[in-house]
Amino acid sequence: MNEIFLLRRWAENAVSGIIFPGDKRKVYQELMDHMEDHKDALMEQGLTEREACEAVEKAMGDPWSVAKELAEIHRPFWGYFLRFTRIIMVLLIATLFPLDTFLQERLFQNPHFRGWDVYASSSYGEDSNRTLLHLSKQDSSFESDGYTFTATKAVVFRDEEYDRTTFQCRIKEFNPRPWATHAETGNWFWAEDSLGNYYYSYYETAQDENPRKPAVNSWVVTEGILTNTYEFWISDFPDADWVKLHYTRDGRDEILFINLTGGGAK
Amino acid sequence: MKAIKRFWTNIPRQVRVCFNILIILFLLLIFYVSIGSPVFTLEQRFRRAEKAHLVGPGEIVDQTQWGLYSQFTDMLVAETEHGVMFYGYWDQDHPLDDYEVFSYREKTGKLTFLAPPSLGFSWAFDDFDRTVPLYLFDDYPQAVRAEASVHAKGTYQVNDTKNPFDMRFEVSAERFSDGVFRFLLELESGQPLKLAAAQMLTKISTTAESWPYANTSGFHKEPHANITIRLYDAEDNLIVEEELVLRTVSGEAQAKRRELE
Repeated sequence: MNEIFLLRRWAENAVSGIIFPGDKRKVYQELMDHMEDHKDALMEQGLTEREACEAVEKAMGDPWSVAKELAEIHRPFWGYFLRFTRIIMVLLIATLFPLDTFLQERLFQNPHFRGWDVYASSSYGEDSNRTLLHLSKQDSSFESDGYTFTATKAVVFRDEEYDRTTFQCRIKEFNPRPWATHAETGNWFWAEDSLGNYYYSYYETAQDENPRKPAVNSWVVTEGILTNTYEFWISDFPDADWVKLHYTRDGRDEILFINLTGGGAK
Repeated sequence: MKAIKRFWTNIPRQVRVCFNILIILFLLLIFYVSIGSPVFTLEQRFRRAEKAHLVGPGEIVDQTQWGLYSQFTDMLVAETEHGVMFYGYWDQDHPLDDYEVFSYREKTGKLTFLAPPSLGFSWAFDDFDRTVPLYLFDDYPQAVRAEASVHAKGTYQVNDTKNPFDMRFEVSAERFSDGVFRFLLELESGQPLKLAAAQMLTKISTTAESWPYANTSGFHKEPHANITIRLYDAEDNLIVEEELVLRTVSGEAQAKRRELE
C-alpha cells in the first residue's frame, strides 16, 4: 500500500498545476496507468514492489518540473470559455432572481382583475342584484401590425340596483414578439349594435363636453409576455342581437363581430 | 446525481459551451423583456410605439426640441398617408423607466395642423423663452410660402386669479419639407397672453389622444382658436385661404358614425 502511495504522490504532484479538474483527473489516471505498467514490468523482472515503485519514481524524474510542463500544456481555451459561460449564467440568474415577481406576473398571467369570471362565480347568485342575460364563447378575430385580437367571451347582465344592462366582452391580444410592447388600442375601439346604435370610443368621449355619451370602455385584465387580455364593456346596453367592435384608425378598419344570439344564461 | 455529472463531464467542452450559450441567450431574453424591452434611439422607440398604436409606418419629417413634463427633449414629427404624429419620451429617474407621449392626428382635408403636446401650464409661465413649432401638412405642391393668422380666446388661471385673454398674432413660413410648412412661434417670458395663447393652441390642436400628463387645469373655459391659413405659390399668388377647424375627435370614426346615422 505504501509503495503505491509513492506513485500516487508523484502523480498528484505532477498534475497539481493543471487548472481544470476534468483534465487533472484524466492526466492523473494516465500517469498512474503508465507507472503501474512500468512497475509490473519491473516486478516481473524480479524486483520487489517497493524497489519497483522507487525505480519507477526515479525514472519519472522530478514531479515539480513535470507539473510545470503539464500546467503549460493544459490551458485549454474551451475550458476557460466554459468557465466564463458558467460565471455569466450565475450572474444572470442572480440578476433575475429579484425580478421573480415580475416573472410570475408575466409568465403566469397574474390577473389584475378577473372581470366577470368573479361575477359569474359569486355575483350572479340568488342574493345578487345582477341577472345574467347572456353568456357565450366568441371566436371573431383580426390581425393588424403583428398583433392578433380575438374576442373570446361575451356577457350581458342586468343590474337591478342601478337599473342598467351592461354588455361585456373579453378580447385576447396575442403578440408573438415578446420584446415588443403590447398594443395601446383599447381606447380607440368604437362600436355599433344590431339596432343601429353608435357607441363612442373612449377618446371621443374624453374630448367631448358630454361625458355621458354611450361609449366603449376597456381595461386590461391580465398581462403576459405574449398575450394581454382586455375587457370591453358598454353600459346601458339595449336588447341587441350583435355588436361590432371597430378599430378605425390610420387607414385600418378592423372589426370584431360579437354574436349575442344563442349562447345561454346561467 | 453522480451519473448525471459523469454524463455531463464526458460531453466535449465545445458542446457544453454551446449549451451554456443557449441558456445564457434565453436568460438574456428574459432579462431584456423583464426590464421593459428597451430600445435605445428615438427613432427605434418611435417605430415601436407606432406598431403598438397600430398606426403608420410614417415618414419622419422633423426632429425638434420640446418640453415634456419637467425637461426638454427631442421629439419626432412624422406623417402617414392618413395622419400626422408627434412622438417623444422623457426619462424618469432611470433610463429604463420613462414615459412616452405618442400623439396621432388624422388628416381631415387638404390642410392638417399639428402643434406639439401642451406643456405644463404653470411651468410654462415660470421660465419659457422658447419657440413653439407649429406644423402645417398640405396637399398643395405648388405652395412655397404660408401665412397663418391665429386668434386664440380663453381664460387662464394663475394663483386663483382668472385671466381672460383674446390674442391675435400672425406667423409665416417658407416650405419646410415636401408637403410640410413649419411655423415658429417665438415666445419670451413676460408675455403671459401670448404664452397662454400658445399654451392653449398646443392643448387643443395636439390630437384626440390627449396627453395625460399635461396640466391644463389652468383653463377654465373651453378654449377656442381659429387659424386662418393662406398659401402662396412662387409668384406670390394666393392659392388658398382656409379657416381651420381644430378637431379633437377621430374623423374616420365620425365618418363611420355619420354613415350609420
